[in-house]
Amino acid sequence: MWLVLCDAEDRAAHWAAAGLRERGLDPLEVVDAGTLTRTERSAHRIEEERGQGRDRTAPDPSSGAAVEGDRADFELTLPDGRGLASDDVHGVVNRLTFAPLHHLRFASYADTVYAMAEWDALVLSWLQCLAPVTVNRPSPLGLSGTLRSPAEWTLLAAAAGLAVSPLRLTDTPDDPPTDRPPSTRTLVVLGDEVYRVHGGDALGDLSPACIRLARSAGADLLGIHLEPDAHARHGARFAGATLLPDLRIAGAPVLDGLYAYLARLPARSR
Amino acid sequence: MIVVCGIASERPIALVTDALRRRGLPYAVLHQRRFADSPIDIRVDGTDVSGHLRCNGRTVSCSDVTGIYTRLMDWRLLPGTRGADGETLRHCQAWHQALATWIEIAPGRVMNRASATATNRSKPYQAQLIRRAGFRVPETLVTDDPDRALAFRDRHGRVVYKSISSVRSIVRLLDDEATARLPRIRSCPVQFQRYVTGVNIRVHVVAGEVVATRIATDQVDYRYAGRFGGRADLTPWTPPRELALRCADLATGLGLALAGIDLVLTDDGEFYCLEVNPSPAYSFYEDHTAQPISDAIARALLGR
Repeated sequence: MWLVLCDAEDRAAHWAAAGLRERGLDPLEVVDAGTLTRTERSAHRIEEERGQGRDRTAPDPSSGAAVEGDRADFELTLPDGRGLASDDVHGVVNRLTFAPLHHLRFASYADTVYAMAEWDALVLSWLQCLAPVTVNRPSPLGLSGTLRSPAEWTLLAAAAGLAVSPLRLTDTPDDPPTDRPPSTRTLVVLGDEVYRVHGGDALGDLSPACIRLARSAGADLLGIHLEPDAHARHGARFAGATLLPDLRIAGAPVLDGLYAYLARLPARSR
Repeated sequence: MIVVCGIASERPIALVTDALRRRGLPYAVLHQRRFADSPIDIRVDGTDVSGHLRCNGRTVSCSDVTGIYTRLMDWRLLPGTRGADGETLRHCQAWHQALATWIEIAPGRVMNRASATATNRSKPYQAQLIRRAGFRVPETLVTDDPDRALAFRDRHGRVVYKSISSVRSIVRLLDDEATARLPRIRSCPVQFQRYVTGVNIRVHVVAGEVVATRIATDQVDYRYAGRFGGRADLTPWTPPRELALRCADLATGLGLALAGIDLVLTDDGEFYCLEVNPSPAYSFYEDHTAQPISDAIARALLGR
């Protein structure tokens, strides 16, 4: 089974799921975050020591087979009766941002904060033991990967070789963010490939730097915003990054890439 | 220059500043309750981070900072924010955001960056990382199913329960009274763990240096022994070399320059790792044993 995990309103995720099914990923289930937190029954186990089971999260690159070792798994019964067991999942498109608890009522603000922290912690641990291929892998600083401040992204982008604009960190409250200018271009990095917007301008030879940025961010999938700038190296300047790019902007080629990425699995784990 | 961030009177902060003072090391305390008088102005240009902070009336240049020790509390809980107007709250939030961002990107030794401390937000997540580092972890079940929880208890005899996150993190035995409340877990899953009995060991790892403390207690969670009428006797302890190395590797692997690792040594000689605390209240151990943990922190903060 392949999984697309997303927020309920994530149109790009649903579009990707349909495209991946067309390309042959079967069975493929879409599970939204609200469904995960309304499970009828759940059990998440972590065994005591190495060697008690098969580690599905650390494929051995030399053998192409899963390593015998760590063992953590989960089984869920979703509200619609579907079962979801981590051992059955081969690959995941993970676009979760938080664990919604709209369906619960709490006695106090403190209870609400506690329940939100508990559910986020649980979903993070579920994601960690899910599958050998998860795009993107979770982080304790973000269910779909590490969320970073503009300053952190700027440093990473500069280190990766992209031109950046200077920015200031002060104790003065920021103005509300403004829309990106229409000239902004977004590239989507998936593994070692870079996908451009349909019919978009070529933005110089930015691919190696973009791939380096995604790698240093620990993201298999990354959207990178760039502003054209004739004075900047490669004719563009870094303008931000997202772990949840709108895949639709890159069209069928990114779906082909995503399919290949998810299907690139050790034979034993399929 | 070393910058210490937090509440100056809090015991771990006070011990670190005492150690820095004793050693004659240059330091500044960035007191978060005095945010209104501590402007921050930092510039990020390419890979260069420059600018300055104002600490206790002194201007500290970011480029002079070699180390940061931080124990910031949640700004929303600061006494100064109670009843404060909107402008003050926005300023307080912006100050903490700017400071947290600088701590994350500052070169030099930082105890600890948010990206490293975050693993403790999910105990089962962290347990998976701990086990990969070669430690045993107690068998764990997180469930909202009372029947599975009962079966887990029947299988292991004694079981503890605790939060999944770092919030409300007190460990309690699943006794008959708690078992009677199990139907309530239907609305929010709970973490159950095999109760591993033995001697508690707290290992502080300070930039690779290992300081271990043995805790004899009659309580499930020795940290709250006093609250529940129990005892906790702390004594210095020398870990086997292999264990010390494994602890140092675990801290390094998690990206932690300072870590408090909770171990249990069982009667049959096995070490179990219960969790890694990325912001340890090490003063509790130093005050009981006179182990020089704050001194190790001061030394480590000096080196880049």
